[in-house]
Amino acid sequence: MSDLDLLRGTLDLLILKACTWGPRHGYAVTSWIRDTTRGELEVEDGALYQALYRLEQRGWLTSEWGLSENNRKAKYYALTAAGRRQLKAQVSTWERYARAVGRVLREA
Amino acid sequence: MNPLFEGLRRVFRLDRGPQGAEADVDLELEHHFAAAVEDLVRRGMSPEEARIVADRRFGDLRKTRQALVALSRTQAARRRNWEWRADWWLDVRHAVRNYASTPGVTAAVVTMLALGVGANAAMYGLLDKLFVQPPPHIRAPEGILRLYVRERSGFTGGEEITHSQFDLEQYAALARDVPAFAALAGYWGPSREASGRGQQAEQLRTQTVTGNYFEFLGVQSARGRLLEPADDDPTAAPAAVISYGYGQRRFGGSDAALGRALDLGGTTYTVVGVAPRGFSGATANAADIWIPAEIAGAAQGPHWRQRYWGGLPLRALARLQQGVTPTVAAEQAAAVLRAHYETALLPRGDRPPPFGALHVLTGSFMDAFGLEGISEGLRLSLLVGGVALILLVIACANVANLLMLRAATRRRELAVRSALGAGRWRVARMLLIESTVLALAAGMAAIGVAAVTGRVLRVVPVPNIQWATGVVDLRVLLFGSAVALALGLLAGVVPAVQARRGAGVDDLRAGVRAARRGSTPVRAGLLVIQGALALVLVVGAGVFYRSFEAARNHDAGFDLEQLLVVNLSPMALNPMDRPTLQEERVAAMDEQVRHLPGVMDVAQTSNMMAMSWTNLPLRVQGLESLPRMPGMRGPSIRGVTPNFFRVAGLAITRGRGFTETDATGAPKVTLVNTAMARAVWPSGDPIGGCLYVGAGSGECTTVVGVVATERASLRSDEVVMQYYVPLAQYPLPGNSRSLLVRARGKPEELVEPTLRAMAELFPDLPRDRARALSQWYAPERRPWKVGLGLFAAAGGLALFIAAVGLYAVIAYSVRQREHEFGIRRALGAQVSDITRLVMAQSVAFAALGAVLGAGLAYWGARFVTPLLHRDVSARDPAVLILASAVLLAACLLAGLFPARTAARADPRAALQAE
Repeated sequence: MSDLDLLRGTLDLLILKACTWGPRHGYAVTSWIRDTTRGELEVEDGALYQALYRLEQRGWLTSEWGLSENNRKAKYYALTAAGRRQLKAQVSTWERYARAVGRVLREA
Repeated sequence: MNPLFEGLRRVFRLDRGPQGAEADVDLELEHHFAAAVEDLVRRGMSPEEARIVADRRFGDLRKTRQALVALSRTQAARRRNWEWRADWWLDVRHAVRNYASTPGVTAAVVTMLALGVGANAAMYGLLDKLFVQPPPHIRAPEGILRLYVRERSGFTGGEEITHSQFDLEQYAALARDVPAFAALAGYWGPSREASGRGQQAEQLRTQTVTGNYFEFLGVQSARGRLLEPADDDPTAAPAAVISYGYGQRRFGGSDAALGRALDLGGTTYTVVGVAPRGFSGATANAADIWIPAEIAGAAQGPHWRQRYWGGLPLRALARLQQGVTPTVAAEQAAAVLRAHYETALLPRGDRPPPFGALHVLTGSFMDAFGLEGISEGLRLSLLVGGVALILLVIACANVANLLMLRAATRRRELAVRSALGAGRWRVARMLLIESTVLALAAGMAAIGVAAVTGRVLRVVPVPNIQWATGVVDLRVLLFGSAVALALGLLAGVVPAVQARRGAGVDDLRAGVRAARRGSTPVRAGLLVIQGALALVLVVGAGVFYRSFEAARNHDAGFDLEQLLVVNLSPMALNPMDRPTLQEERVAAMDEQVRHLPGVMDVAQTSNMMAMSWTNLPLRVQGLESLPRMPGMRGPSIRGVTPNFFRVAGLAITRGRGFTETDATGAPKVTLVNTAMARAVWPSGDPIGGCLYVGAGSGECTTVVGVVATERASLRSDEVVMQYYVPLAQYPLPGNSRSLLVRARGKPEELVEPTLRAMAELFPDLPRDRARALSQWYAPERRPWKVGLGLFAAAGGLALFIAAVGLYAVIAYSVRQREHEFGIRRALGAQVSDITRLVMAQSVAFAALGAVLGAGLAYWGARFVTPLLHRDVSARDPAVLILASAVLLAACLLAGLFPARTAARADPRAALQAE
């Protein structure tokens, strides 16, 4: 797995996770990820947006225009049923992966 | 951006096109930066700093924007495609769910459309075959003409008639001497001929044809060869061609049929070929077998060619020379026929001279359009077609009405959809899909109805036509389903459009007083039309019923319903060639039948009752010539046993009947019927009058009594002057005899035992020789029976449909006005007041429908008059009044249930809603 693939898979997971609590607009997603990772993942917002669009295309997210907190037009993203299933699967894969890597590091 | 447009766009989920995608991305990014800066400022940065940080965090804006726009475009395209399909499916499912939620209305609509269209499709098939489509397998049928003759014949007392019967001499003259004809062919029949002997004999539908018949029509054989001119040679072995269907039925296949021998009229024919499948000859009426006219005629004895009316006639078909008009050909043909009269017929003196001129007319190849006028069967078919059409109109009116009501109840749904941004087209597409679903269901059901109706139509209106192929074919089915589809769409879309119009904010607001609209003018008009057409059909049933009754009560002169006729005359194609009866066998037969259980009495007669007449030269003492009266035939002679009048139920009005003493050698006596008595002795007393029977007879036959006149036909006014003589004194050779059997119960039950006796004593006679007398009249009564059945069924159906329609409309309006009725109740209106209020609607519809329907029935009377009993008027006021009463009753019944609902309206609920 190349760095990029790993990064992409991780990004997707994070974005899907960001949307579990209901529809969010693009900025809310980027700021939630930045805040929860405390800035430790150096991901540009532009890449996040591209990921958002890609996920929508895959049918895991769906978007709708709405009004934001301060009454501005914003595009809101929400998880679809398929997205929810995907998130569940990716979370378990990621956890298994992380456990395996952790075990290897502890053994060494 | 215009908010309305934005709303529409949202509902349609329209993407914004190429520019739209960019604008969308820009708008989203704009929001991102604004939100980011706002957020960072809130966390303590200066706006300038915040902007820089947001920019840095985002990365390469230009590249990202490009990538996003590209992604957005492919996404939009994919979604458009997917949504389009998903929406279709959604609409179809929505439509099915929608219809399933109102199963009653849906079933009614589908049933009505299917009945209306299916019946019409089958009818179209029948009329198409009768009037439009030439019989199959014929080359260039449009080039074929039928020949007719218009003349004043000596046979008909100088009355001008048009007919299409040519004897073989005339045919030969036409074929030889008319230069305008490129080809001429002749045929006769199909008529039923017995093949084989006795009660096992098979009835074959036989067409006698000229040798060039098949060549003239341009038919190719399926097996073997067809008839050729060489087959006309009387010395050749008699050849026959059979139909494909008969070959299958009788021999199990065309190959097995070749070379088989078939006996017809005493001649044995060899099957030389099989006609192609579906070929029915020059008429729609299919034949089983074709034989050469020359051979069949020769079997009838020496002078068969010249016997004009009684012998073997032909109908003539002609193809013209290039560039010759039918008028020229007709003139040439007329000249040839006139010359034939002058040179051949008149010198021979074997037929009376014609009165006045003779003309030849040419007509269409299609038999149904013959110059002889439309036959009863065809008229009935047309009538059936008309009735089917009326039913279709009623069905469509009702379907439209029901769908309009349905649409009206959906105004709210449509208004909500509109308000949510569904555009006109989106709604239209939904309604269109709904209609299509409905129409498809109706179309499939219509195909089923058409198949069943087609089977019935094959035999009911024109039973004497045997079809070589089914009435309903693929073309008819396609036509039917196309019509059903079109009507279904129309019926669905029109109400939808009507409902869409003005479905707006009002409908959203509607709470208690949803719609004040009662019935719209369109809806009311459709109801009135349905009522009117239903009335027309009920009137039709009424007048046909009266015809039926009139025929039953009609003074046939004798007891039609109790008599069985057994014809014992020997078999022969020509009455003149019959061998003499074996009297002892007749006596034995009389004895056997007399002792069958259920037989009251048996009489003998020289001529079959009401079916056959014999005219002899007759002189009346004191008269120069016999009076000729319009609509009167005869005088005819009949020899009878003394008990004949009692058995037949013919009343002797004056004088005496015959006794056993009026035997051979005793003084000759006769009874005349009332028609003859009135004509011959208009003022005097016929009793004691003197008849000289037979050419040059000098012996007086004394009139001893007068007897009631037996009717020859239930349909026509024609009367036969008739005189009866004792069978013992009958002046003609005894080669014709029938038993007249009076039954205690139904004469039909005596047929089988009689046939058993006949099989023993008269083994040569076929099964159809013993029949109930009423059966002879069945063809005359058939139009009334069919008419009655048809109109009764159609009228009942129409009334039911109209009543359902009225019920639906009134029930709807009652539901709309429930509030009003509640208020009325609260204000003191009685149950009866409200019932009356609602019922008044029903009565108004019934009255309007009756008035309009009466007008239509009055106008339509012309179409059924020729089919009715002559004593029954198609404009019978009693029938009209009764039919109106039936319509009123149906309407009242339809209004009764809604009226009761209205009367139960809760005043409290109405007041609370205020």
